Amino acid sequence: MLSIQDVTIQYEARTVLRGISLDVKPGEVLALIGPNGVGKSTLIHAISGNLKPIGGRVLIDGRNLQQLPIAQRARSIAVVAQAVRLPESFTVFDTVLMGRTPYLGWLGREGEKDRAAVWAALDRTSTRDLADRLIGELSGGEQQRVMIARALAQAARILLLDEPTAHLDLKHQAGVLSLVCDLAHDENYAVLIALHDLNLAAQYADRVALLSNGTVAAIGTPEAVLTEVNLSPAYGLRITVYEHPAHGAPLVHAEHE
Amino acid sequence: MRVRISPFIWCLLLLIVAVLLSAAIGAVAIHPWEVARIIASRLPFLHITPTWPDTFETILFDIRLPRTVLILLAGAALSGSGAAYQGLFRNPLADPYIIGVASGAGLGAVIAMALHWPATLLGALVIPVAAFIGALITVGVVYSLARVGRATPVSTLILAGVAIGSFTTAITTFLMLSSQAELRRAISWMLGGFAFGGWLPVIAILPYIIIGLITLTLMGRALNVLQFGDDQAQQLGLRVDRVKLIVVIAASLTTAAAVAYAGIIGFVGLAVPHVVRLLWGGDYRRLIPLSIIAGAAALLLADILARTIIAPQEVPLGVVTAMFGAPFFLWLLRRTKRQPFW
Repeated sequence: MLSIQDVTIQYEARTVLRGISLDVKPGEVLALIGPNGVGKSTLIHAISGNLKPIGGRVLIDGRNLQQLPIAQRARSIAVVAQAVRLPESFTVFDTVLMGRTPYLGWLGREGEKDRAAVWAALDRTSTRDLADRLIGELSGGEQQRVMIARALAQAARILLLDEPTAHLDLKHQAGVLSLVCDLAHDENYAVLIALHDLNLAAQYADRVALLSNGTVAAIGTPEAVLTEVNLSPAYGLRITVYEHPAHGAPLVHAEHE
Repeated sequence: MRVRISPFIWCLLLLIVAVLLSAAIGAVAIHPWEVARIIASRLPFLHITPTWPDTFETILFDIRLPRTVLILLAGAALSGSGAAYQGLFRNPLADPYIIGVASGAGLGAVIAMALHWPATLLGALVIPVAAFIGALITVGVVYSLARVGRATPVSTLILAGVAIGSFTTAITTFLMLSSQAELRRAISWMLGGFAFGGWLPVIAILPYIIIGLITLTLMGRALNVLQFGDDQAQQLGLRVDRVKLIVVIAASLTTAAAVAYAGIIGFVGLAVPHVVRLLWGGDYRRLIPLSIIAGAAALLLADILARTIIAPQEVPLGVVTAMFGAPFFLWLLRRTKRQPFW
């Protein structure tokens, strides 16, 4: 279980996040939402250990993240970064194999166990057929699946995803997010996912945390958080929330001024 | 990871051909096959009856092979460290010469020579250390100047490298001109000629180059992970700062050792890893050892050209590598402009 307690983060001499507290339990998908620049990525960087909070702490199964050796951290938390340009010259298999880094020493070579973990991760993300392709040649949706496969090869129980569906078309958005949901619900991963699109958050998340003005403005089920009262001030415009005609999930719509 | 053998065999074959040609060509031509037999006759367990004049052995072992081996080591060092710098800076234009490290190493070596001319083995062993210190200081300064936020863009890296390289070269030139005759011989050395004869320089740089190149070869997997950026590498459990420090030290040590006795030879560390990358991909576990072998072969071939193109006069080796390497560099520069992230 991932527990963030009263975390305060400064970035470039500016306090971005103040007193953030939230828990992510195994088996659930918690979506992190909020306007651009509110600090969703910053929080993910802090939880992954890349950024050191100036206050508060991040606990993994009760142990303080900052006190864990870096390899130990990587065995507990895997991160799927925002869709960035990937180095071109590695095959999908070799890329996913890099997920085994925290299990290999300085001079260690990958063994049968590592390769088996890679094939399992490729199967789980339906990317086995791509194993010999270069990642630079793949489409955005395929690349994102490969990055999820690498996170699975890491065999960490906590997954952090930073806007994994940015730049993806509808089909691939749905593909990536249902995969992530299945990992949480069927295989008990604890998933924290920063999402830009509120309707995707409504559709796929078990709980939603709304970041606004550097704090958690609301946290709870999508129905409880995605309301006009919460969203309008956070995004600074009039927002109407409808009910999805088929399954009742909130449907968020920004009104013209 | 499937290990593919064939690229290594190709590179080794090229290297063997280059060594034999390098030793065969000269004022007295010795057939490459004869060269191979003469070398083999000195190996244990091989019984080869000499059918060649004694002078051939003298020419080979006292004059040609020391130079051949020195160039082989320098080519391996410059190309291997070039590949490592490219991985470290995630920048295909990084090269010991272009980022100014070679010039910094040259300055360090010249200062040490000005203080104490290397007449003994101990003195000779100190020169690469001085070059290493010069190289480390230069790479530190260039990196801190070139860094923009968390990235090292192509443009600032080249600008900082050229500026620092020119500055250190200027000081080196000044030191040489204001010193006595012995040190002036280093002028030809600066241009990539060879001012030293015999096996002493080879023995003096061998330990540094072997240690450096083995270290770089072992860092291949870590360099691969580093290609995804510092953040991702760290999230994958890699101790990024430590990896970078080890690579910088090992690459600077090999560069410095090469520069200390073979001089400042540009573009080998740029061109050779690039050709290797185009042929066999950018996996650093393969790229570094292949660049080492191919770099040794390439510099030997460039040296053959330097000796024969206007024989009996010799063209400085650095001039030959620049003639081929600089256009290659410009071609790469144009090509990378289309890839904004490099």
